[in-house]
Amino acid sequence: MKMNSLYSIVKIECVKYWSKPRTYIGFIAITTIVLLIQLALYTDGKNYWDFLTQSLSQSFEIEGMEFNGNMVCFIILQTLIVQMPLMVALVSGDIVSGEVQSGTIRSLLTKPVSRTKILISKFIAAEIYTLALIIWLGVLAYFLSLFLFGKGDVVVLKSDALTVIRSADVGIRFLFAFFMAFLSLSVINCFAFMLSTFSNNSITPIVISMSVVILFTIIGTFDIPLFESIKPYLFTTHTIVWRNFFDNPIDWELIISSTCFLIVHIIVFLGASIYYFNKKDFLQ
Amino acid sequence: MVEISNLVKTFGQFTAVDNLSMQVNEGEVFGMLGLNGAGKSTTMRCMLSLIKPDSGQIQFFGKNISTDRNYILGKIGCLIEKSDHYNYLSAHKNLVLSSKLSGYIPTQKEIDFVFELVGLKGREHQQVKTFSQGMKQRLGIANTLIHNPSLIILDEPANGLDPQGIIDLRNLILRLKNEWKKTIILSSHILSEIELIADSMVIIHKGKNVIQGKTNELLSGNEVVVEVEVDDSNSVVEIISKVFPQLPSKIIDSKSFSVKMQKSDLNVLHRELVNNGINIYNFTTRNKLEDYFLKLTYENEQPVFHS
Repeated sequence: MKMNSLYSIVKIECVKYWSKPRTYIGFIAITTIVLLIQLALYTDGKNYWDFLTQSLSQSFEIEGMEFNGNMVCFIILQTLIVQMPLMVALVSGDIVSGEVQSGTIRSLLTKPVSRTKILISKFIAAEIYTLALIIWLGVLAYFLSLFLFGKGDVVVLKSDALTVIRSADVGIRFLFAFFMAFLSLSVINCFAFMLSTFSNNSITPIVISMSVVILFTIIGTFDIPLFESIKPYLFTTHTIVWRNFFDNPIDWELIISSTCFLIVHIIVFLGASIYYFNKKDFLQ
Repeated sequence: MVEISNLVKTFGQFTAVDNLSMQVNEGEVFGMLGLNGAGKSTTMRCMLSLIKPDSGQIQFFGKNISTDRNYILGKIGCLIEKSDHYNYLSAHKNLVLSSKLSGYIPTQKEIDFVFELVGLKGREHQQVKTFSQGMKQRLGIANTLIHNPSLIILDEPANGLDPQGIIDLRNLILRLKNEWKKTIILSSHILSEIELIADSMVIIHKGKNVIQGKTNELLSGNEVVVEVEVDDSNSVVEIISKVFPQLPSKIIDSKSFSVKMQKSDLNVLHRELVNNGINIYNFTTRNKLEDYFLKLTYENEQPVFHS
């Protein structure tokens, strides 16, 4: 009888993960949303573009700017980045508590594998899912949009500025943005995962993690002095930092500090999960 | 093979396992008997490190579970309370995953053999969600056997099984002991279940080891409890106190009484009752252990009648 390697446990976790119908909800949702946006912009993109640039056209004369794949990808990313944490929480919130609720955790924890190894393998399986979700989003939002709409510059509209990113420069920025989105989703993943280790039923961690993301996002959108003081400490403030890759010049200092903030959150959430899971009595 | 010493586990103010000690020898079927909530499952969970005990030692194969957990668990197959599986996977997939987690990759021949053994042959590629509770329990037993463990721990394994399933399970446990020389620990709250298959047993009550020993020795004591149903139990008790003045008798109700006595005196009691013109409607005997366990059950449900 040989001892299990982490790799073999991760493989087992992945088999379980990818056999659950729930795992595919996120992929179906992303596919539906992206295809809908692409279809809408393909059929009526000109009007949407005119609407977006309406206020600018009063001050500037905008010429040569047309809807293109890069722009569509940017719009999709902006739209979906709000919903994706919910999709991640839906699956990660269930990964440990679901096994406790169904009783399969008993079988799992009476195998010759340490609790830490079991938990880390579950975390890696959840991260693989998150990465797959991001890659799928990238394939649909970036490559399919380029195929349908062609290449072009990206115009980033802000309340006080307009930034144009040249087509040749866009690809690498999207790569960084997708990586940052992955890191952001990993924090949500870790948060839902931690709640999942604390709970004995799968609904509570899913609902709590979704509620926290929604609450933090709402706080982040209001420019009220009280909220302003707490905003820097909310992880949702840092999960939208991918947008900064579309600034000119890129504010690397802000991106690095947000990256560190997110990594620290991952370490804290994962550490708390491992500590609690190792101490927990399984009475169910 | 298994030695538990002074095991204690509390949940807040409640002591689930109270200084429990017991030993299990290699190659035997060991029964843990106790009422629901007696502390059997908590003890088993402590043994399998699902629960961390407050104090005490648990040793398997001469090694301590707290320091050699993985080594020990690699040699154990267990089924704790009801059997739970990944319902969205097939029985075959569940079995293979369980075995792999135990560090053992089974051959197709071994998988077929185990499915045959538990009576699930032909159903192995069905999703578990389509299984009845009894079938899930059979699959749980298959999971405990697939990696060929030396020790099998079964917590209330008959739960969810139909009468035929219970007989099959009993036969399977005896086969595992006799043909494959496995050591088996099983718990139950039904004495007859333990009595039929266990070589040794322990009675656990309120987390304590009340009595432990060889099952046949515990069940074959000379002292028995007789329960008799008559027209008027008060008059009969008077007769008994004259014939056996040293014996404690107990009136259960107006029509029945019980008395503890030596097996050899049973015929004397019967003769005396008949000679005194007492109509006997029922005359049953129980050995001391049966009586003791019944009393525990009785205590748990309603107050005991005293003579």
